[in-house]
Amino acid sequence: MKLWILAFRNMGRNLRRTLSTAVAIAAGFIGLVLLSAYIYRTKMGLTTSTVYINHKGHLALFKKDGLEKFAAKPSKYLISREDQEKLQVILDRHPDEIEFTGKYLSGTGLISNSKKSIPFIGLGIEPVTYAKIMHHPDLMRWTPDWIFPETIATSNDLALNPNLISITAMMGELLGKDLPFSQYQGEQKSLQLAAKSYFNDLNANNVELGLRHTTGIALAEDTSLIGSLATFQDLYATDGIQYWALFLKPAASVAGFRQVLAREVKQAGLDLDIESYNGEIWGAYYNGSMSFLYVMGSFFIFLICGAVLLSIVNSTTLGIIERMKEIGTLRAIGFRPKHIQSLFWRENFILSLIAVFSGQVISEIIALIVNFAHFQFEPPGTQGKIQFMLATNWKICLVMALFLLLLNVATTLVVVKKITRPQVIKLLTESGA
Amino acid sequence: MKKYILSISLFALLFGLELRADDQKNTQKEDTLAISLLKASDEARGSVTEGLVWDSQIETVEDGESNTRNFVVKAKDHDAFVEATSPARNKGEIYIFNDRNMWFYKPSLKKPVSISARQKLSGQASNGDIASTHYARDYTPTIEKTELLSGEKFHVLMLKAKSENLTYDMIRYWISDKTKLAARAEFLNLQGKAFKIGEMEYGNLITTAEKKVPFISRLTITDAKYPQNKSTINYKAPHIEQLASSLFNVSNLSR
Repeated sequence: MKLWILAFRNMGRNLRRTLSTAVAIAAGFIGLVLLSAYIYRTKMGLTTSTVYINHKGHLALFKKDGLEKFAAKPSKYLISREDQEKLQVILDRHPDEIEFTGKYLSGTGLISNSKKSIPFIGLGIEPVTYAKIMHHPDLMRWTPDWIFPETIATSNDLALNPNLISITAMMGELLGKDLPFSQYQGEQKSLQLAAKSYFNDLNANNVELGLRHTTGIALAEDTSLIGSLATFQDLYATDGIQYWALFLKPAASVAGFRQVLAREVKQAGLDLDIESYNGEIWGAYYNGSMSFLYVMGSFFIFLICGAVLLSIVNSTTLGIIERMKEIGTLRAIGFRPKHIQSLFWRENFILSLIAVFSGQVISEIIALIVNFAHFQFEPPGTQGKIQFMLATNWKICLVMALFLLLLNVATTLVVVKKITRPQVIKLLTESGA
Repeated sequence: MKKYILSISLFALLFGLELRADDQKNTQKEDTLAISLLKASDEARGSVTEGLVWDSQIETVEDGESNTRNFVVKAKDHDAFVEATSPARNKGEIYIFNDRNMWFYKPSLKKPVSISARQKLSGQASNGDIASTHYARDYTPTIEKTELLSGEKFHVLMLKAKSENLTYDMIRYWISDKTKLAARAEFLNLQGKAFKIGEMEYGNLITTAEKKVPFISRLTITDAKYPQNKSTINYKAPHIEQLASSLFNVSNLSR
């Protein structure tokens, strides 16, 4: 305890250098916190967008090889009604992990306003699942820019009228339909979908324009269409589904539950693949974007930590050189080298702790100001502008603070160890700085 | 000496102009021949101004699976009305061709759907293959060469699409010099490679107001890469019939 008190008092002996070191550590920590806040916000935004807005679920069950081959031969890679019933039994066993589920069928075709037709890439979804997704709190928290208030307000309409479809504003423009789509009544909102059925026949059905959505991905905006599962099953003349998405509760582990589910699916004799939202193919956009961010983040962390380390080495070395005689005196009155080392690392630990705490407070203030300022930007590949947001996470901050403290203590020990070894007489005769 | 050089130059110039004029005449002649050949061959594939009705059966073999679909085709001038008669699930489905535009309709639809002639109707047969053929209207022909097939002289025409909404971008087309009937077609992609091959037979006869003309009885369309995948369109009972113009009015299909 005496060493801690001594270390704390020593910090005030050269206040200017102590302050400059603290500022360097705090600045480095602020950089780390803000960088992690941006990456964390992006990760959560992409996760929410992938899982909910793009309807991939945390986990999705496909017919074996269905993820890659469904588009080429859909009838072969459908999950049949019989398999769906077996799967339902398995899913019912996990109410603690699964929040809700959704059956999906995707396909391509033409959407027509009787004058012209344009191609679509559509997704058939169960109306109840659609409503649950649109009211999910994660959407409002992490992707408010990609969910329109009208989309949430009208999300229950699909359950009331399964003939309704949701298209993007760009598709509406291509079809000669202006926003808001709710302005169209009767025949004006009548549209037709046409596609090759799984019997290889040209098939078509009536749909009604009523809902609007955005994919958040620029490339998908001119073709994206969402309708009820029944509409799509009717269009492609099937009662099968392409995949069954599982939306997990926040506490559930995606990887852990995937393993459990894979075991049970296999035991039931079902030939299914389980894909997770961050998988290489199923979550390609998420995966690619996050990999880039992680690489970029690692590079910046390396730079920041390097700068902080140099600052610590510099100030500690200067402090030791100045205090050679003091160290010699301490050694002469019975202090051992390890006591001297303890004194120095304690000094730097207290300094780092104060700097990290101050850095955390300043980071929170900066994040608040940035979020309050509502800066808009357009990330590459996304549709429209989104708010530049910083979201600090206490777990990440704690890990980084511990890492930085550990790094500072280790650096101090390395520097001090070399200098406290010489004989006492040599230390006492050193002139110092 | 000067006079001598001037005379030679003048002679060369006149000779060159004469040759160029001959070339132009030959090209014009060839173009005229190509168009007349195409017009004559179109007649035997339904391009007649009078109403023409026939039954069409499409037999498709694709990836080892086979199916048969039947249609009644009613064509007049540049319009066509095609109604599916079997199998039962397709009965009542209608395809209307207005000039180069095409619509699909079935009884449960509120409005017809505008579709592309290029889209596959069944197997290798595209929507545009089932109705009458108007290559003389839709394509610009040039004679590539003439060649002998089984001892018969054929003109090989290269047809280039005049607009983008046609069934094919380019067609290499074999027309008999003697009968003026097309016997073979290679449907080419934009790179000039054949992706489908068509072979025609003419076992039918139709009697127009003026004369009896041969009419196509079978068109076999084979996938150029996977020859086991093919569609055969059989043309049965073709006959001239008075057809009202309202039959081809797409507005009449709406409920």
